[in-house]
Amino acid sequence: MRRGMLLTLSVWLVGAAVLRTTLLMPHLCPAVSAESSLAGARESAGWIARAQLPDGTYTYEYNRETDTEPGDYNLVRHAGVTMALYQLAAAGDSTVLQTADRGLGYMVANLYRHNDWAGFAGVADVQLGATALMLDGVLQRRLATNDSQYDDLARELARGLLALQLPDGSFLNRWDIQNEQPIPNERSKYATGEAFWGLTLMHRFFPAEGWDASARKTADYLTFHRDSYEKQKYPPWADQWAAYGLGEMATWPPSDANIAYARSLAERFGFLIRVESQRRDSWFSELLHGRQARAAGMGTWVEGLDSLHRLAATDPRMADMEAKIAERVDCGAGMLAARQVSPAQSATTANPTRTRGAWFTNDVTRMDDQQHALSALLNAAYIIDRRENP
Amino acid sequence: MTEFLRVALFLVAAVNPAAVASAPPPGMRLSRQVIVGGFAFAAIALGLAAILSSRILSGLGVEPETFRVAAGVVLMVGGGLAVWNGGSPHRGPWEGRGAALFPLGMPLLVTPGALAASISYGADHGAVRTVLGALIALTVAVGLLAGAAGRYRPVLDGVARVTGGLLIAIGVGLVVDGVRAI
Repeated sequence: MRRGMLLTLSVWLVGAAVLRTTLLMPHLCPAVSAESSLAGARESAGWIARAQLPDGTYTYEYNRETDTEPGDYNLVRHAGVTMALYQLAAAGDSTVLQTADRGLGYMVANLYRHNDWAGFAGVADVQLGATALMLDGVLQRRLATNDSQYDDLARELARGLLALQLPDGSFLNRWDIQNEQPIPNERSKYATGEAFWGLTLMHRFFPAEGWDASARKTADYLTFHRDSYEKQKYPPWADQWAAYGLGEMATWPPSDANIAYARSLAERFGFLIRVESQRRDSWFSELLHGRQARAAGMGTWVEGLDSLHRLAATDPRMADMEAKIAERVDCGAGMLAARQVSPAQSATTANPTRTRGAWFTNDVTRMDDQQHALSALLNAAYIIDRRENP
Repeated sequence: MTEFLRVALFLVAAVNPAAVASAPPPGMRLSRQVIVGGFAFAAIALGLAAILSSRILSGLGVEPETFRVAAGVVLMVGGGLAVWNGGSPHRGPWEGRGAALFPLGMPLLVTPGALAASISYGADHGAVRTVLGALIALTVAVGLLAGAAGRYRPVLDGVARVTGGLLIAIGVGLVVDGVRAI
Protein backbone atom coordinates (compact mmCIF):
# COMPACT_ATOMS: atom_id res chain seq x y z
CA MET A 1 0.00 0.00 0.00
CA ARG A 2 2.75 2.42 1.01
CA ARG A 3 4.57 1.97 -2.29
CA GLY A 4 1.46 2.62 -4.36
CA MET A 5 0.56 5.62 -2.28
CA LEU A 6 4.04 7.11 -2.52
CA LEU A 7 4.04 6.58 -6.26
CA THR A 8 0.66 8.30 -6.58
CA LEU A 9 1.79 11.18 -4.40
CA SER A 10 5.00 11.53 -6.43
CA VAL A 11 3.05 11.79 -9.68
CA TRP A 12 0.73 14.36 -8.09
CA LEU A 13 3.68 16.38 -6.82
CA VAL A 14 5.29 16.47 -10.25
CA GLY A 15 1.98 17.63 -11.72
CA ALA A 16 1.64 20.28 -9.02
CA ALA A 17 5.19 21.50 -9.67
CA VAL A 18 4.50 21.79 -13.40
CA LEU A 19 1.35 23.79 -12.68
CA ARG A 20 3.18 25.99 -10.19
CA THR A 21 5.88 26.96 -12.67
CA THR A 22 3.45 27.57 -15.51
CA LEU A 23 -0.16 28.55 -14.79
CA LEU A 24 0.18 29.08 -11.06
CA MET A 25 3.17 31.41 -10.81
CA PRO A 26 2.47 33.80 -7.93
CA HIS A 27 1.13 37.23 -8.78
CA LEU A 28 3.70 39.86 -7.89
CA CYS A 29 1.95 43.14 -7.15
CA PRO A 30 4.36 45.58 -5.47
CA ALA A 31 2.76 47.79 -2.83
CA VAL A 32 1.86 51.28 -4.01
CA SER A 33 0.27 54.23 -2.23
CA ALA A 34 -1.72 57.08 -3.74
CA GLU A 35 1.22 59.33 -2.94
CA SER A 36 3.82 57.13 -4.62
CA SER A 37 1.54 56.60 -7.61
CA LEU A 38 1.19 60.35 -8.04
CA ALA A 39 4.94 60.79 -7.51
CA GLY A 40 5.55 58.29 -10.32
CA ALA A 41 3.24 60.27 -12.61
CA ARG A 42 5.12 63.48 -11.76
CA GLU A 43 8.50 61.84 -12.41
CA SER A 44 7.18 60.72 -15.77
CA ALA A 45 6.04 64.26 -16.57
CA GLY A 46 9.50 65.43 -15.55
CA TRP A 47 11.03 63.14 -18.17
CA ILE A 48 8.69 64.55 -20.83
CA ALA A 49 9.51 68.14 -19.84
CA ARG A 50 13.24 67.47 -20.01
CA ALA A 51 12.78 65.71 -23.35
CA GLN A 52 10.96 68.65 -24.96
CA LEU A 53 12.71 70.42 -27.82
CA PRO A 54 12.45 74.17 -28.55
CA ASP A 55 9.77 73.68 -31.25
CA GLY A 56 7.45 71.92 -28.78
CA THR A 57 8.13 68.35 -29.96
CA TYR A 58 9.63 65.74 -27.65
CA THR A 59 12.51 63.28 -27.78
CA TYR A 60 10.80 60.35 -29.42
CA GLU A 61 13.02 57.51 -28.28
CA TYR A 62 16.12 57.06 -26.15
CA ASN A 63 18.51 54.12 -25.92
CA ARG A 64 20.34 54.02 -22.60
CA GLU A 65 22.77 51.35 -23.74
CA THR A 66 24.12 53.50 -26.56
CA ASP A 67 23.04 56.86 -25.06
CA THR A 68 21.47 57.79 -28.40
CA GLU A 69 18.18 59.22 -29.60
CA PRO A 70 16.97 57.92 -32.96
CA GLY A 71 15.36 60.81 -34.79
CA ASP A 72 11.99 59.23 -35.54
CA TYR A 73 8.69 60.98 -34.76
CA ASN A 74 4.97 60.26 -34.54
CA LEU A 75 2.28 62.93 -34.50
CA VAL A 76 -0.35 60.78 -32.81
CA ARG A 77 2.07 60.12 -29.95
CA HIS A 78 2.95 63.82 -29.79
CA ALA A 79 -0.71 64.62 -29.25
CA GLY A 80 -1.03 61.79 -26.73
CA VAL A 81 1.96 62.90 -24.66
CA THR A 82 0.67 66.47 -24.58
CA MET A 83 -2.77 65.23 -23.55
CA ALA A 84 -1.26 63.25 -20.67
CA LEU A 85 0.48 66.39 -19.38
CA TYR A 86 -2.86 68.22 -19.43
CA GLN A 87 -4.38 65.34 -17.47
CA LEU A 88 -1.77 65.93 -14.77
CA ALA A 89 -2.48 69.65 -14.90
CA ALA A 90 -6.21 68.91 -14.54
CA ALA A 91 -5.34 66.93 -11.42
CA GLY A 92 -3.88 70.09 -9.92
CA ASP A 93 -0.24 70.11 -11.00
CA SER A 94 0.02 73.34 -12.98
CA THR A 95 3.83 73.09 -13.25
CA VAL A 96 3.42 71.02 -16.40
CA LEU A 97 1.22 73.56 -18.17
CA GLN A 98 4.11 75.39 -19.80
CA THR A 99 5.49 72.19 -21.34
CA ALA A 100 2.03 71.08 -22.43
CA ASP A 101 1.24 74.48 -23.94
CA ARG A 102 4.45 74.31 -25.99
CA GLY A 103 3.34 70.87 -27.18
CA LEU A 104 -0.06 72.33 -28.05
CA GLY A 105 1.66 75.24 -29.82
CA TYR A 106 3.37 72.76 -32.14
CA MET A 107 0.00 71.22 -32.99
CA VAL A 108 -1.66 74.60 -33.55
CA ALA A 109 1.20 75.54 -35.89
CA ASN A 110 0.52 72.36 -37.89
CA LEU A 111 -3.23 72.65 -38.25
CA TYR A 112 -4.94 71.88 -41.51
CA ARG A 113 -8.25 73.65 -42.11
CA HIS A 114 -10.95 72.64 -44.54
CA ASN A 115 -14.45 74.14 -44.67
CA ASP A 116 -15.49 74.52 -41.04
CA TRP A 117 -13.18 71.94 -39.49
CA ALA A 118 -9.55 71.53 -38.48
CA GLY A 119 -7.15 68.68 -37.98
CA PHE A 120 -3.60 68.11 -36.71
CA ALA A 121 -1.80 67.45 -39.96
CA GLY A 122 1.34 65.80 -41.22
CA VAL A 123 2.85 66.49 -44.63
CA ALA A 124 0.35 64.59 -46.74
CA ASP A 125 -2.58 63.78 -44.54
CA VAL A 126 -4.62 64.50 -41.47
CA GLN A 127 -4.69 61.52 -39.12
CA LEU A 128 -7.82 60.84 -37.13
CA GLY A 129 -5.81 59.76 -34.07
CA ALA A 130 -3.63 62.86 -34.02
CA THR A 131 -6.64 65.15 -34.31
CA ALA A 132 -8.63 63.20 -31.74
CA LEU A 133 -5.84 63.23 -29.16
CA MET A 134 -5.26 66.93 -29.82
CA LEU A 135 -8.94 67.49 -29.06
CA ASP A 136 -8.68 65.30 -25.95
CA GLY A 137 -5.68 67.38 -24.85
CA VAL A 138 -7.38 70.71 -25.51
CA LEU A 139 -10.36 69.60 -23.43
CA GLN A 140 -8.11 68.35 -20.61
CA ARG A 141 -6.53 71.80 -20.72
CA ARG A 142 -10.00 73.31 -20.39
CA LEU A 143 -10.52 71.12 -17.36
CA ALA A 144 -7.16 72.19 -15.91
CA THR A 145 -7.41 75.92 -16.49
CA ASN A 146 -11.09 76.73 -17.12
CA ASP A 147 -9.65 78.88 -19.90
CA SER A 148 -12.06 79.09 -22.84
CA GLN A 149 -9.59 80.48 -25.42
CA TYR A 150 -9.43 77.13 -27.23
CA ASP A 151 -13.19 76.37 -27.18
CA ASP A 152 -13.65 77.30 -30.83
CA LEU A 153 -10.59 75.25 -31.77
CA ALA A 154 -12.09 72.31 -29.87
CA ARG A 155 -15.27 72.65 -31.92
CA GLU A 156 -13.26 72.81 -35.14
CA LEU A 157 -11.31 69.71 -34.18
CA ALA A 158 -14.47 67.87 -33.19
CA ARG A 159 -16.03 68.75 -36.55
CA GLY A 160 -12.82 67.38 -38.08
CA LEU A 161 -13.60 64.05 -36.43
CA LEU A 162 -17.15 64.15 -37.77
CA ALA A 163 -15.76 64.78 -41.27
CA LEU A 164 -14.25 61.30 -41.03
CA GLN A 165 -17.17 59.62 -39.24
CA LEU A 166 -19.23 57.10 -41.20
CA PRO A 167 -22.99 56.57 -40.72
CA ASP A 168 -22.41 53.45 -38.58
CA GLY A 169 -20.33 55.44 -36.08
CA SER A 170 -16.96 54.19 -37.29
CA PHE A 171 -14.28 56.54 -38.60
CA LEU A 172 -12.02 56.65 -41.61
CA ASN A 173 -8.44 56.99 -40.48
CA ARG A 174 -7.00 59.69 -42.74
CA TRP A 175 -7.86 62.73 -44.82
CA ASP A 176 -5.85 63.16 -48.01
CA ILE A 177 -4.75 66.82 -48.07
CA GLN A 178 -3.89 66.94 -51.77
CA ASN A 179 -7.14 65.42 -52.98
CA GLU A 180 -9.20 67.04 -50.24
CA GLN A 181 -11.07 63.89 -49.35
CA PRO A 182 -10.88 61.03 -46.87
CA ILE A 183 -8.85 57.97 -47.83
CA PRO A 184 -11.56 55.32 -48.26
CA ASN A 185 -11.67 51.91 -46.59
CA GLU A 186 -8.96 52.64 -44.05
CA ARG A 187 -9.89 52.54 -40.39
CA SER A 188 -7.77 52.36 -37.24
CA LYS A 189 -8.52 50.27 -34.20
CA TYR A 190 -6.62 52.77 -32.06
CA ALA A 191 -7.95 56.06 -33.42
CA THR A 192 -11.64 55.14 -33.28
CA GLY A 193 -11.57 55.03 -29.48
CA GLU A 194 -9.52 58.22 -29.33
CA ALA A 195 -12.15 60.02 -31.40
CA PHE A 196 -14.95 58.47 -29.34
CA TRP A 197 -13.45 59.83 -26.13
CA GLY A 198 -13.07 63.27 -27.72
CA LEU A 199 -16.74 63.38 -28.65
CA THR A 200 -17.82 62.33 -25.15
CA LEU A 201 -15.64 65.09 -23.67
CA MET A 202 -17.22 67.59 -26.09
CA HIS A 203 -20.60 66.67 -24.64
CA ARG A 204 -19.29 67.38 -21.13
CA PHE A 205 -18.22 70.91 -22.02
CA PHE A 206 -20.85 71.75 -24.62
CA PRO A 207 -23.89 69.67 -23.64
CA ALA A 208 -26.37 71.62 -25.75
CA GLU A 209 -24.54 71.08 -29.03
CA GLY A 210 -25.50 67.47 -29.69
CA TRP A 211 -22.06 65.83 -29.62
CA ASP A 212 -23.53 62.98 -27.60
CA ALA A 213 -25.46 61.66 -30.61
CA SER A 214 -22.26 61.14 -32.58
CA ALA A 215 -20.53 59.66 -29.54
CA ARG A 216 -23.36 57.18 -28.99
CA LYS A 217 -23.13 56.03 -32.60
CA THR A 218 -19.44 55.30 -32.10
CA ALA A 219 -20.11 53.61 -28.76
CA ASP A 220 -22.45 51.23 -30.59
CA TYR A 221 -19.93 50.66 -33.37
CA LEU A 222 -17.30 49.77 -30.76
CA THR A 223 -19.78 47.57 -28.93
CA PHE A 224 -21.17 45.63 -31.86
CA HIS A 225 -18.94 45.84 -34.92
CA ARG A 226 -15.38 47.04 -34.37
CA ASP A 227 -13.86 43.72 -33.31
CA SER A 228 -15.30 41.83 -36.26
CA TYR A 229 -14.39 44.60 -38.72
CA GLU A 230 -10.81 44.62 -37.42
CA LYS A 231 -10.80 40.80 -37.47
CA GLN A 232 -9.86 40.73 -33.82
CA LYS A 233 -8.86 37.14 -33.09
CA TYR A 234 -9.60 37.26 -29.37
CA PRO A 235 -12.16 40.01 -28.83
CA PRO A 236 -12.53 42.47 -27.29
CA TRP A 237 -9.61 44.56 -28.45
CA ALA A 238 -8.11 45.95 -25.21
CA ASP A 239 -9.02 49.54 -26.06
CA GLN A 240 -8.34 51.95 -23.22
CA TRP A 241 -9.60 54.87 -25.32
CA ALA A 242 -12.99 53.21 -25.56
CA ALA A 243 -12.84 52.77 -21.79
CA TYR A 244 -12.10 56.49 -21.37
CA GLY A 245 -15.16 57.28 -23.45
CA LEU A 246 -17.40 54.83 -21.62
CA GLY A 247 -16.18 56.25 -18.30
CA GLU A 248 -17.10 59.71 -19.54
CA MET A 249 -20.57 58.40 -20.48
CA ALA A 250 -21.13 57.03 -16.97
CA THR A 251 -23.89 59.49 -16.12
CA TRP A 252 -25.53 59.69 -19.56
CA PRO A 253 -25.89 56.58 -19.05
CA PRO A 254 -24.59 53.98 -21.58
CA SER A 255 -26.98 51.39 -23.05
CA ASP A 256 -27.15 47.83 -21.70
CA ALA A 257 -25.11 46.64 -24.69
CA ASN A 258 -22.47 49.31 -24.03
CA ILE A 259 -22.29 48.12 -20.42
CA ALA A 260 -21.87 44.52 -21.55
CA TYR A 261 -19.01 45.71 -23.75
CA ALA A 262 -17.51 47.68 -20.85
CA ARG A 263 -17.67 44.57 -18.67
CA SER A 264 -15.85 42.55 -21.31
CA LEU A 265 -13.19 45.28 -21.52
CA ALA A 266 -12.72 45.21 -17.74
CA GLU A 267 -12.34 41.44 -17.87
CA ARG A 268 -9.75 41.69 -20.62
CA PHE A 269 -7.70 44.39 -18.87
CA GLY A 270 -7.91 42.46 -15.61
CA PHE A 271 -6.70 39.28 -17.28
CA LEU A 272 -3.79 41.12 -18.88
CA ILE A 273 -2.77 42.57 -15.51
CA ARG A 274 -3.00 39.12 -13.89
CA VAL A 275 -0.81 37.56 -16.56
CA GLU A 276 1.69 40.42 -16.40
CA SER A 277 1.97 40.08 -12.63
CA GLN A 278 3.06 36.45 -13.14
CA ARG A 279 5.94 37.48 -15.41
CA ARG A 280 9.45 37.99 -14.07
CA ASP A 281 12.54 39.62 -15.49
CA SER A 282 14.26 36.28 -16.18
CA TRP A 283 14.87 34.03 -19.20
CA PHE A 284 12.86 31.22 -17.59
CA SER A 285 9.82 33.43 -17.09
CA GLU A 286 10.24 34.87 -20.58
CA LEU A 287 10.31 31.36 -22.01
CA LEU A 288 7.14 30.27 -20.21
CA HIS A 289 5.16 33.49 -19.87
CA GLY A 290 6.55 35.80 -22.53
CA ARG A 291 8.42 39.09 -22.20
CA GLN A 292 7.38 41.67 -19.63
CA ALA A 293 5.12 44.28 -21.23
CA ARG A 294 6.50 47.71 -22.01
CA ALA A 295 5.08 50.63 -20.03
CA ALA A 296 3.19 51.87 -23.08
CA GLY A 297 1.31 48.55 -23.06
CA MET A 298 0.78 48.02 -19.35
CA GLY A 299 -0.03 51.69 -18.89
CA THR A 300 -2.96 51.37 -21.31
CA TRP A 301 -4.38 48.44 -19.33
CA VAL A 302 -4.29 50.42 -16.11
CA GLU A 303 -5.71 53.48 -17.88
CA GLY A 304 -8.56 51.32 -19.16
CA LEU A 305 -9.28 49.95 -15.70
CA ASP A 306 -9.06 53.44 -14.18
CA SER A 307 -11.82 54.63 -16.51
CA LEU A 308 -13.94 51.51 -16.07
CA HIS A 309 -13.65 51.90 -12.30
CA ARG A 310 -15.31 55.26 -12.68
CA LEU A 311 -18.11 53.59 -14.62
CA ALA A 312 -18.39 50.77 -12.07
CA ALA A 313 -18.53 53.27 -9.22
CA THR A 314 -21.36 55.13 -10.95
CA ASP A 315 -23.43 52.53 -12.78
CA PRO A 316 -25.18 49.81 -10.75
CA ARG A 317 -24.93 47.43 -13.70
CA MET A 318 -21.19 47.31 -13.14
CA ALA A 319 -21.12 47.78 -9.38
CA ASP A 320 -20.22 44.13 -8.77
CA MET A 321 -16.92 44.70 -10.59
CA GLU A 322 -15.80 47.79 -8.69
CA ALA A 323 -13.73 46.07 -5.99
CA LYS A 324 -12.00 43.71 -8.41
CA ILE A 325 -11.22 46.54 -10.83
CA ALA A 326 -9.70 48.49 -7.94
CA GLU A 327 -7.58 45.43 -7.01
CA ARG A 328 -6.25 45.14 -10.55
CA VAL A 329 -5.57 48.88 -10.74
CA ASP A 330 -3.60 48.56 -7.51
CA CYS A 331 -1.57 45.70 -8.94
CA GLY A 332 -0.93 47.41 -12.29
CA ALA A 333 0.05 50.71 -10.68
CA GLY A 334 2.32 48.85 -8.27
CA MET A 335 4.12 47.13 -11.14
CA LEU A 336 4.47 50.39 -13.07
CA ALA A 337 5.83 52.26 -10.06
CA ALA A 338 8.29 49.49 -9.27
CA ARG A 339 9.64 49.36 -12.83
CA GLN A 340 10.16 53.12 -13.21
CA VAL A 341 13.76 54.38 -13.10
CA SER A 342 14.08 56.21 -9.79
CA PRO A 343 16.19 59.35 -9.30
CA ALA A 344 18.77 57.29 -7.40
CA GLN A 345 18.97 54.66 -10.15
CA SER A 346 19.24 57.29 -12.86
CA ALA A 347 22.14 58.99 -11.07
CA THR A 348 24.33 56.00 -11.90
CA THR A 349 23.54 56.09 -15.63
CA ALA A 350 25.34 57.86 -18.47
CA ASN A 351 22.47 60.28 -19.03
CA PRO A 352 20.32 60.79 -15.92
CA THR A 353 18.22 63.41 -17.75
CA ARG A 354 16.96 60.75 -20.14
CA THR A 355 16.71 57.85 -17.73
CA ARG A 356 15.10 59.41 -14.66
CA GLY A 357 11.37 58.80 -14.48
CA ALA A 358 11.35 56.58 -17.56
CA TRP A 359 10.48 52.95 -18.30
CA PHE A 360 12.83 50.88 -20.44
CA THR A 361 12.30 47.77 -22.51
CA ASN A 362 15.46 46.25 -23.93
CA ASP A 363 17.23 49.49 -22.92
CA VAL A 364 14.90 51.63 -25.02
CA THR A 365 12.24 54.05 -23.85
CA ARG A 366 9.77 55.82 -26.13
CA MET A 367 7.80 58.93 -25.27
CA ASP A 368 4.51 57.04 -25.16
CA ASP A 369 5.92 54.77 -22.44
CA GLN A 370 5.96 57.86 -20.26
CA GLN A 371 2.60 59.07 -21.61
CA HIS A 372 0.60 55.96 -20.80
CA ALA A 373 2.33 55.27 -17.52
CA LEU A 374 1.76 58.87 -16.45
CA SER A 375 -1.97 58.70 -17.21
CA ALA A 376 -2.24 55.28 -15.60
CA LEU A 377 -0.50 56.22 -12.34
CA LEU A 378 -2.27 59.56 -12.13
CA ASN A 379 -5.76 58.09 -12.47
CA ALA A 380 -4.86 55.10 -10.31
CA ALA A 381 -3.90 57.46 -7.48
CA TYR A 382 -7.58 58.46 -7.06
CA ILE A 383 -8.64 54.82 -6.79
CA ILE A 384 -5.81 53.90 -4.41
CA ASP A 385 -6.65 56.94 -2.32
CA ARG A 386 -10.23 55.65 -1.97
CA ARG A 387 -8.83 52.37 -0.69
CA GLU A 388 -6.55 54.15 1.77
CA ASN A 389 -9.25 56.58 2.91
CA PRO A 390 -12.59 54.81 2.48
CA MET B 1 -29.93 25.07 -12.27
CA THR B 2 -28.94 26.63 -8.97
CA GLU B 3 -25.34 27.43 -8.24
CA PHE B 4 -25.25 24.76 -5.54
CA LEU B 5 -26.55 22.03 -7.83
CA ARG B 6 -24.03 23.03 -10.45
CA VAL B 7 -21.15 22.83 -7.99
CA ALA B 8 -22.44 19.45 -6.76
CA LEU B 9 -22.75 18.12 -10.32
CA PHE B 10 -19.26 19.29 -11.21
CA LEU B 11 -17.84 17.61 -8.11
CA VAL B 12 -19.72 14.40 -8.94
CA ALA B 13 -18.04 14.48 -12.36
CA ALA B 14 -14.65 15.17 -10.74
CA VAL B 15 -15.02 12.19 -8.39
CA ASN B 16 -16.51 10.02 -11.18
CA PRO B 17 -18.63 7.54 -9.13
CA ALA B 18 -18.86 5.00 -11.97
CA ALA B 19 -15.07 4.81 -12.19
CA VAL B 20 -14.90 4.38 -8.40
CA ALA B 21 -17.53 1.61 -8.45
CA SER B 22 -15.72 -0.34 -11.13
CA ALA B 23 -12.28 -0.01 -9.51
CA PRO B 24 -12.30 -3.11 -7.24
CA PRO B 25 -11.38 -6.39 -8.96
CA PRO B 26 -14.32 -8.37 -10.43
CA GLY B 27 -16.22 -10.29 -7.78
CA MET B 28 -14.68 -8.46 -4.85
CA ARG B 29 -16.96 -6.80 -2.29
CA LEU B 30 -15.34 -4.24 -0.03
CA SER B 31 -16.01 -4.30 3.69
CA ARG B 32 -18.17 -1.61 5.24
CA GLN B 33 -15.14 -0.44 7.25
CA VAL B 34 -13.12 0.20 4.12
CA ILE B 35 -15.94 2.04 2.39
CA VAL B 36 -16.75 4.20 5.42
CA GLY B 37 -13.05 4.83 6.03
CA GLY B 38 -12.49 5.87 2.41
CA PHE B 39 -15.52 8.16 2.55
CA ALA B 40 -14.34 9.77 5.78
CA PHE B 41 -10.81 10.30 4.47
CA ALA B 42 -12.08 11.84 1.23
CA ALA B 43 -14.66 14.00 2.99
CA ILE B 44 -11.98 15.38 5.30
CA ALA B 45 -9.52 15.99 2.44
CA LEU B 46 -12.00 17.68 0.09
CA GLY B 47 -13.67 19.51 2.98
CA LEU B 48 -10.36 20.93 4.16
CA ALA B 49 -9.48 21.93 0.60
CA ALA B 50 -12.74 23.86 0.35
CA ILE B 51 -12.60 25.40 3.82
CA LEU B 52 -8.96 26.44 3.49
CA SER B 53 -9.26 27.44 -0.18
CA SER B 54 -8.75 31.17 0.35
CA ARG B 55 -5.77 30.55 2.62
CA ILE B 56 -4.29 28.07 0.16
CA LEU B 57 -4.59 30.55 -2.71
CA SER B 58 -3.28 33.36 -0.57
CA GLY B 59 -0.32 31.18 0.43
CA LEU B 60 0.34 30.40 -3.21
CA GLY B 61 0.02 34.10 -4.07
CA VAL B 62 -2.53 33.25 -6.75
CA GLU B 63 -5.86 34.92 -7.53
CA PRO B 64 -8.98 32.69 -7.58
CA GLU B 65 -9.54 33.64 -11.24
CA THR B 66 -6.07 32.40 -12.14
CA PHE B 67 -6.51 29.21 -10.13
CA ARG B 68 -9.72 28.55 -12.08
CA VAL B 69 -7.64 28.19 -15.24
CA ALA B 70 -5.26 25.71 -13.59
CA ALA B 71 -8.16 23.76 -12.04
CA GLY B 72 -9.79 23.61 -15.46
CA VAL B 73 -6.64 22.11 -16.95
CA VAL B 74 -6.49 19.51 -14.15
CA LEU B 75 -10.15 18.60 -14.78
CA MET B 76 -9.51 18.31 -18.51
CA VAL B 77 -6.58 15.95 -17.93
CA GLY B 78 -8.63 13.95 -15.39
CA GLY B 79 -11.53 13.79 -17.82
CA GLY B 80 -9.25 12.68 -20.62
CA LEU B 81 -7.84 9.86 -18.47
CA ALA B 82 -11.37 8.80 -17.51
CA VAL B 83 -12.42 8.67 -21.16
CA TRP B 84 -9.31 6.64 -21.93
CA ASN B 85 -9.45 4.23 -18.98
CA GLY B 86 -13.20 4.03 -18.44
CA GLY B 87 -14.05 1.62 -15.64
CA SER B 88 -10.73 -0.20 -15.52
CA PRO B 89 -10.12 -2.00 -12.21
CA HIS B 90 -7.47 -0.50 -9.96
CA ARG B 91 -4.62 -2.87 -9.08
CA GLY B 92 -4.91 -2.14 -5.41
CA PRO B 93 -3.91 -3.46 -2.91
CA TRP B 94 -7.55 -3.97 -1.88
CA GLU B 95 -6.92 -6.27 1.08
CA GLY B 96 -7.03 -4.94 4.64
CA ARG B 97 -8.24 -1.72 6.18
CA GLY B 98 -5.49 0.26 4.50
CA ALA B 99 -7.50 0.07 1.26
CA ALA B 100 -9.69 2.81 2.73
CA LEU B 101 -6.76 5.20 2.38
CA PHE B 102 -5.20 3.74 -0.74
CA PRO B 103 -6.53 3.19 -3.34
CA LEU B 104 -10.11 4.05 -2.32
CA GLY B 105 -9.42 7.28 -0.44
CA MET B 106 -6.88 8.45 -2.92
CA PRO B 107 -6.61 8.43 -5.87
CA LEU B 108 -10.16 7.09 -6.46
CA LEU B 109 -12.31 9.39 -4.31
CA VAL B 110 -9.83 12.22 -3.80
CA THR B 111 -8.78 12.75 -7.38
CA PRO B 112 -6.52 15.63 -8.42
CA GLY B 113 -9.56 17.04 -10.23
CA ALA B 114 -11.76 16.81 -7.13
CA LEU B 115 -9.07 18.50 -5.03
CA ALA B 116 -8.51 21.30 -7.54
CA ALA B 117 -12.25 21.77 -8.00
CA SER B 118 -12.81 21.90 -4.23
CA ILE B 119 -10.20 24.64 -3.85
CA SER B 120 -11.49 26.58 -6.85
CA TYR B 121 -15.20 26.29 -5.99
CA GLY B 122 -14.45 26.87 -2.31
CA ALA B 123 -12.79 30.18 -3.18
CA ASP B 124 -15.45 31.19 -5.73
CA HIS B 125 -18.70 29.87 -4.25
CA GLY B 126 -17.93 29.51 -0.54
CA ALA B 127 -16.87 26.58 1.60
CA VAL B 128 -20.35 25.51 2.75
CA ARG B 129 -21.74 24.92 -0.74
CA THR B 130 -18.56 23.20 -1.84
CA VAL B 131 -18.37 20.91 1.19
CA LEU B 132 -22.03 19.94 0.74
CA GLY B 133 -21.42 19.37 -2.96
CA ALA B 134 -18.41 17.20 -2.17
CA LEU B 135 -20.43 15.19 0.36
CA ILE B 136 -23.08 14.54 -2.28
CA ALA B 137 -20.44 13.47 -4.80
CA LEU B 138 -18.77 11.16 -2.30
CA THR B 139 -22.11 9.71 -1.16
CA VAL B 140 -23.06 8.91 -4.73
CA ALA B 141 -19.65 7.33 -5.30
CA VAL B 142 -19.60 5.11 -2.21
CA GLY B 143 -23.31 4.26 -2.66
CA LEU B 144 -22.60 3.03 -6.15
CA LEU B 145 -19.48 1.25 -4.93
CA ALA B 146 -21.43 -0.59 -2.22
CA GLY B 147 -24.38 -1.42 -4.43
CA ALA B 148 -22.73 -2.28 -7.72
CA ALA B 149 -19.21 -3.43 -6.90
CA GLY B 150 -18.20 -6.19 -9.27
CA ARG B 151 -21.48 -5.99 -11.22
CA TYR B 152 -22.78 -4.10 -14.24
CA ARG B 153 -19.19 -3.61 -15.45
CA PRO B 154 -20.00 -2.68 -19.07
CA VAL B 155 -22.56 -0.13 -17.89
CA LEU B 156 -20.18 1.37 -15.31
CA ASP B 157 -17.41 1.47 -17.88
CA GLY B 158 -19.60 3.41 -20.30
CA VAL B 159 -20.85 5.79 -17.62
CA ALA B 160 -17.29 6.41 -16.39
CA ARG B 161 -16.19 7.39 -19.91
CA VAL B 162 -19.21 9.64 -20.45
CA THR B 163 -18.51 11.27 -17.07
CA GLY B 164 -14.93 11.81 -18.25
CA GLY B 165 -16.26 13.56 -21.33
CA LEU B 166 -18.45 15.73 -19.13
CA LEU B 167 -15.43 16.52 -16.96
CA ILE B 168 -13.48 17.69 -20.01
CA ALA B 169 -16.34 20.04 -20.89
CA ILE B 170 -16.45 21.34 -17.32
CA GLY B 171 -12.69 21.85 -17.40
CA VAL B 172 -12.87 23.79 -20.65
CA GLY B 173 -15.63 25.93 -19.14
CA LEU B 174 -13.53 26.61 -16.08
CA VAL B 175 -10.53 27.64 -18.20
CA VAL B 176 -12.65 29.97 -20.31
CA ASP B 177 -14.25 31.38 -17.18
CA GLY B 178 -10.84 32.01 -15.61
CA VAL B 179 -9.48 33.69 -18.71
CA ARG B 180 -12.57 35.85 -19.13
CA ALA B 181 -12.77 36.85 -15.48
CA ILE B 182 -11.35 40.14 -14.38
